[in-house]
Amino acid sequence: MSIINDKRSEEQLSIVVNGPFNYFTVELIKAQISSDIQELVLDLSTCDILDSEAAIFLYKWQSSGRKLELIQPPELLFKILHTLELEDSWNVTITNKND
Amino acid sequence: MDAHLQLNAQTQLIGPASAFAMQWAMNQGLSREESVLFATAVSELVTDIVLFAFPNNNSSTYDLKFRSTSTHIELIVSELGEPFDPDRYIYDPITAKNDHDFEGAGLKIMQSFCDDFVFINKGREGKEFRLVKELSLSTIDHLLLLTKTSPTSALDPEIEEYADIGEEVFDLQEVTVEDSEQIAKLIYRTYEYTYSKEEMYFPKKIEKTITRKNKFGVITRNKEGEAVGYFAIIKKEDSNIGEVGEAVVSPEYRRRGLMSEMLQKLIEIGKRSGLQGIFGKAVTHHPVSQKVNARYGFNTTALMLAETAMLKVKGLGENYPQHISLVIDYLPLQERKTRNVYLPEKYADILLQSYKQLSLSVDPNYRELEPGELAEKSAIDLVMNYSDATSLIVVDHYGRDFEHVLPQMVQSLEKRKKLATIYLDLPLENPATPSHFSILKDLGFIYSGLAPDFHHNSDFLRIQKTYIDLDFELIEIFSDFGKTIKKLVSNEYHQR
Repeated sequence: MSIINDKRSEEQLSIVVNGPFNYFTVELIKAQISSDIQELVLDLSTCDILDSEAAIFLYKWQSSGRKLELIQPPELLFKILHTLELEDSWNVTITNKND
Repeated sequence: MDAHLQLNAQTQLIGPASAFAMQWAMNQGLSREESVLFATAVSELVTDIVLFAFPNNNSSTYDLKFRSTSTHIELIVSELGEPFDPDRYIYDPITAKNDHDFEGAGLKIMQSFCDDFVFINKGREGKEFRLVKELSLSTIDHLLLLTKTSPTSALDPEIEEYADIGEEVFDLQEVTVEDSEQIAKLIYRTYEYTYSKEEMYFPKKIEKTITRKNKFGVITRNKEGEAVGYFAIIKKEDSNIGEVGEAVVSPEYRRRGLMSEMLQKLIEIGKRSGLQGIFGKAVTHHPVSQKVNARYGFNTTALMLAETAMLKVKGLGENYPQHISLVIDYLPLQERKTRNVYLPEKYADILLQSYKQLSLSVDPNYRELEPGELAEKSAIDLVMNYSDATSLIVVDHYGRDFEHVLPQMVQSLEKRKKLATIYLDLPLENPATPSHFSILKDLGFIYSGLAPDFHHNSDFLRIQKTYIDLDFELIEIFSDFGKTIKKLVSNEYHQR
């Protein structure tokens, strides 16, 4: 599996994404999200390839007003957001594993 | 190393496809950062195919061919899914932000993360997508440090080839893998960064081609043992012939006839190695290479218009005001049996004259094939030269879909922003060629020439369609027969 459920509380879902983050991964994550989840914490520290399906999913989530925290996202995510001209409306908490 | 995958149209295979692409790209010499971008583009493409070409059929398959040259890596994805035209999906960031409509985002990423993105609509034969990344030349700097020699002026063949070798003794030997670094240094010292074959700066790449027997070369050393000249034949991948493709003589050793000596030795090596023939693509902005080829028995068989956008070599054609056209000069090296050839009537005379020039025996045949004798599908290959914006379409065999597929492919290529010339090779030993030639009439192709033994050890008729304005007065042809070809090509070019 390319995702591992790390932790779930009433409003928060934490997931580790291993390897590529793409359409298939997005569908797996969506299947984990119940209507009461308001905060998504994604550990991307071992994610090497990430495409526009992933970036758009994250963009939509954060622009819906729900919380998004990304742990060590790859530089590639910001390159995609820049290419798609979405970076100016991007407001996400970024953390390192050591934080 | 090239690779071929066939995948089911399933979303769970997107990740493995992109992971493979990343590892493969790194193995071909792309940096990790660039490999990540390539893999991301692959992820986008594969996603679009799975979701849009096969929306309801995940048991269908599509093909991924990973190809590598010394200067580019390329992924060719072919599929037979639902019709889909990427040109219609233009990403708009305003619509994306306001309406959360991200249509075209994947295509935008593919175009941004790759050096080229190609879409070829093959009609009933499906669609073909190509993602291309250039291999970087960053390691040339290391070579600079290694050589510690100032780059010198470039080759001037006008004064190189008509001199005697003189009294100095040179050692001419067949190239071995141990010579790779010396060859790369020689190229660098002579041309600095301007040699057109970028792979020649990389000893490892030279070594690889020699090891694979893709290259037969001659290296010349002076009495101190220093490499002062190099000349090589590159074996074609799809036929048993070689191209005289790489040549360099250190500036202080020019005007001594080294190039001629090396060519003579190369011809001997080619013959001994069993090559059916060798050819050279000689430039036409000056006639020197053609003269050298003619001296060694080569005959001009074709004129390829606007084949090269520019010559990078210093001193050679910097001020030439148009794309450079090339001639194909061919030299058969082995005896061959009389071949049955099926010649389109329009070019039968000139083709037979070409065979006569080469002393190749053929039995012309004009029988037309009935449609019922054709395969259902055509087999057509497309080779793209991204640097020079040219494409070569090679027809392996005709199918009943040919009259639809070929125009679609040409139209797809014509949509590209940069397009100099399309060359089209038709198999002369295929009885269906004369009848299918008429299909090409409306596509605007004109004569290029004979491409002997060019694919699968068979002869091909090369025709061409150029999109570049050319002044034929500036195209210099040396041989009389080459001038005959030029006259025909020029007439057809101006009657378009």
